[in-house]
Amino acid sequence: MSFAGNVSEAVLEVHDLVKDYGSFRAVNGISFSVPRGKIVGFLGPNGAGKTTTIQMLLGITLSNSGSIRYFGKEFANHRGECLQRINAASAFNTLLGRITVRENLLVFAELYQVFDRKKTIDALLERFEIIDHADEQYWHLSSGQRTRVNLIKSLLNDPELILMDEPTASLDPDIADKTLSLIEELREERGLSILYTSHNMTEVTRICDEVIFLDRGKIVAKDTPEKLMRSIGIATLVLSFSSGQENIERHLKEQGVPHTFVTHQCVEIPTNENAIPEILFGLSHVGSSIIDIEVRKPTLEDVFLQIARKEV
Amino acid sequence: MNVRRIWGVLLQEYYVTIHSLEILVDVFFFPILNIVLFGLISMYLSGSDPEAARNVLLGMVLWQIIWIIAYSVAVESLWNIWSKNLSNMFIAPLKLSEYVIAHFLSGSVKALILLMGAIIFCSFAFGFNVFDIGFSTLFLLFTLFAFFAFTVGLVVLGLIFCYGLRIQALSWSLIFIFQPLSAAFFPLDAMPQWLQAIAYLLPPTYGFEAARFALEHGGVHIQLFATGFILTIMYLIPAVFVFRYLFNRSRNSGQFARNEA
Repeated sequence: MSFAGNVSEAVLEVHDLVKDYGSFRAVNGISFSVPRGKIVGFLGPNGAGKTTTIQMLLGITLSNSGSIRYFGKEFANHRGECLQRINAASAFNTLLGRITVRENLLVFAELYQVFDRKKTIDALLERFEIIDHADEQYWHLSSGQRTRVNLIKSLLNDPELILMDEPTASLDPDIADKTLSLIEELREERGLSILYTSHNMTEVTRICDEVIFLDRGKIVAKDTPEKLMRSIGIATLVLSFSSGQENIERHLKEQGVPHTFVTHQCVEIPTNENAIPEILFGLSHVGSSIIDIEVRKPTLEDVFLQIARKEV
Repeated sequence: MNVRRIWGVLLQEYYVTIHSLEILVDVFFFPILNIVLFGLISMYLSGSDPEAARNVLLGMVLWQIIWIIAYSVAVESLWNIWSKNLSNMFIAPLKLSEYVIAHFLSGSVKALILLMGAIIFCSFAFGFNVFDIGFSTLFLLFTLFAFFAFTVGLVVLGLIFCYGLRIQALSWSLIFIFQPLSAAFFPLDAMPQWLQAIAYLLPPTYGFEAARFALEHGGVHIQLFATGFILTIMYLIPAVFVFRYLFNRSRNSGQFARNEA
């Protein structure tokens, strides 16, 4: 599977990347690309190799073999040039706690040689609604405020690609939602490309154009979220009824349809989406009073769980 | 080599220093306390052995150059590791050489500020003028000690990158091995023969000997300085390779990223 068909320009191309820690192979020959202007989700269970891959993409861990190319240039040979055009934000890296938000940002503005650094920093602080905390020490900020400051740091050099490692981890739903909205706005405004890792499948479904699933160092699935969800094929039909439980149970058993009664008046039927009309038609003739029908479609979380449980 | 990136690291050093009481204590308070202590010992000795008295105080003032620069190169990177910010620094286009040169410059500036303060303080409090050794000797000593301290700091920093925070104590303790071994406070020939053999291998030994020579006889002891600088270069060049090797090894093993885990 490849995105290459609908990609005019890839900002990041990874080819056959391998990382060994002694005899343990953490990343096993992965290849993928991030198209310009797209958000690519990089998912997998703990220990799948996501963080190691991100570290290699940023040059803080060295690969054993394979190639990383940014904007068509080999990262190993054009480190400075590539890093000037990309950036990263992670929930697991913080800025210096002792110094103020503004001071931290001034340091990075120098490292990235930002033109008109004070104006750039103030504009971003305003945009991310953190200007009132600019002169507070970083360690006094809440998790949500730190996340926003980390995002500001990652935007200082007006990057074309940002690697985001669980940027919303430890945020409450409201702040996480605002952060996602900001990421979506940035993508729209700047045509930003993002490689996005997260364990939150709802947000990945919301913002990612494409998703890569990694397991045990290998890419096991790679497609759009919609296609991945559809690939599972199993939906859950939830029926609520006021009477006729015995009839429903008898019918389902006769038809060999797996089911679970959640309560005396509610049954869950995992089934192929195509079979739902037939099930409903059959149940309409067994003498029961169905009062509510709900079809729960598979989510990216179901895909994730299948992969994590090795069902794919 | 990019001046703005070096300035960025220097700026960070400045901000961390003014916000951290620990650094101010390590870099200014303890050195001044040591100078006061050795100044008092010097006053006590001055009645019986004025030469020894002056040597002890001069040794302690000059030792601060070595201490502060080695501290700046090694310990001040720990602030980035403790704050989980070191990766952020190295995912910027910052070069390793720019990073360590900035720390060397930062240490040199701190050492210069402290040295000036110590010279003024010693003059008023103990009637001892460090400039008695001559400006040229002082300049050469500063340069010699600065590069030696940088060499030690570089190796310690490489070891921390490679082996992690479990060996962080080396960053503020290892340098003190060289204090007795390089005859900082007493003439070289006052040491036992077997220790002298070790002292001859250490660049600061020649610096401290040259300082005592200048204090006693005046003038620059070219031969001592030449030996000291040659030895420093002989250590500095392999230290740069060792540092680079340790840095790459830490990136290979994943330790560099794990340091912040």
